Amino acid sequence: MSGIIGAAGAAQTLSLAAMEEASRQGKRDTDIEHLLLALALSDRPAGSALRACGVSLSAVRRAIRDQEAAELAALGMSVRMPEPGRIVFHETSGYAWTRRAEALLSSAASARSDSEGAGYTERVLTLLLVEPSGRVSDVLARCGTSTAEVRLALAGDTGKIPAASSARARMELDVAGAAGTRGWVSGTSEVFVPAVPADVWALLVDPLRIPEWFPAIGTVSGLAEDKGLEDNESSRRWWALAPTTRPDGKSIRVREQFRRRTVQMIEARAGESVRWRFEFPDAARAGTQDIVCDLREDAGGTRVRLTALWARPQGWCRLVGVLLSGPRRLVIWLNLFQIGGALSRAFR
Amino acid sequence: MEPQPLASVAADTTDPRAGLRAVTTLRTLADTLELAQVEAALRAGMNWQDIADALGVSRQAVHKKYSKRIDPTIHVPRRNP
Repeated sequence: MSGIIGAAGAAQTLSLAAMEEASRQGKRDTDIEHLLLALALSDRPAGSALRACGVSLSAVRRAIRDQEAAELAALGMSVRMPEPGRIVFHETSGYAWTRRAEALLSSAASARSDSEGAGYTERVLTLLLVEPSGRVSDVLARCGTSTAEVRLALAGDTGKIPAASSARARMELDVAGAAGTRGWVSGTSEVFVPAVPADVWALLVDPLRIPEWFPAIGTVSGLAEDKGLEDNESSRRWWALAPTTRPDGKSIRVREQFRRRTVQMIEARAGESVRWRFEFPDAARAGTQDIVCDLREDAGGTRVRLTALWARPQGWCRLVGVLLSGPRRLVIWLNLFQIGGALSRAFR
Repeated sequence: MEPQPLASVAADTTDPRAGLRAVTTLRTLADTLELAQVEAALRAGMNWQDIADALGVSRQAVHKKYSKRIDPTIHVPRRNP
């Protein structure tokens, strides 16, 4: 299962970021330059190698615009591509890969996989560096680097990556109850956020901004003071309401007992780590969920390690929990994937 | 309004590789602008047939290409309500 999750995770993360970047440009066809943008955002060695060569998200965006303007000017046109807007991928549909991007992804997927998706992102970058149109090479040149320099950085970076950073380590499921997580089922993932740690920290510690990175929450309202919930400085709780409409305007049906939850900051180490607790006071059997975000500065942004913890069920429910460990692993992965995607999107 | 010299140097074939890449970009620009114009037309109350007539293609062709791509909040009147 973890193999499938690892492989799917690498491909899904890359596809999502690429299509989000295409949507920002008002495009529906996702091409190789969008793959390059997605790679510049990646937390994998491919992303680190690109950023080490100065190929950050903002640098690629600027280079693509300049390249397009230069190409249109070469055709005698004085127009530019429309100004990019915000990411609307989640509010629109009809996205597709161009034929060459599809062929490239297909080659990367069919190449021999070392283990559980590890290396997929690097194979995509390797294929982009030799793509025949020369588009990627032009964009990299505008970023002040070259395909050869990126290839060298990738070789060095991949060699330096310790085994613990493989895809296997990215989706750990703590079934044994390691230190600090006894009584919890947990999963961990890492995401690269294109913003300085101070900005990421400001987002993560503000309860009113939780909807920006926790997709299951639509709004956070006032302090939770009724129903016997205590309200003191050290353990303040807020009411968080599930979203009622999708970005495209369609309504979302949420069961009554899951419409509201309380949010509480359990612990925080300034600028380093924050732990939020989410509970459903109207659903007696719903377990407590914690999200821990550990921040670390990285070249061109911040690396955030996300840990999702679910309180292990007690009594006979525990047996059901054991039987459902596979689906639960998938749920935790989806949870982390959505939070990681939203966190990255918040700064794009 | 003065017409733009749309492709005054388009016939320059001294660097065909660069020229071909530029044409790809031009096609992308055309696609991006076409989607924006189709959305604007639907917002202005035009139906798929009006848009197809303006583009010089069949209603089926324009519907197939754009029905899933447009902003889903745009209200599109049904042909047979």
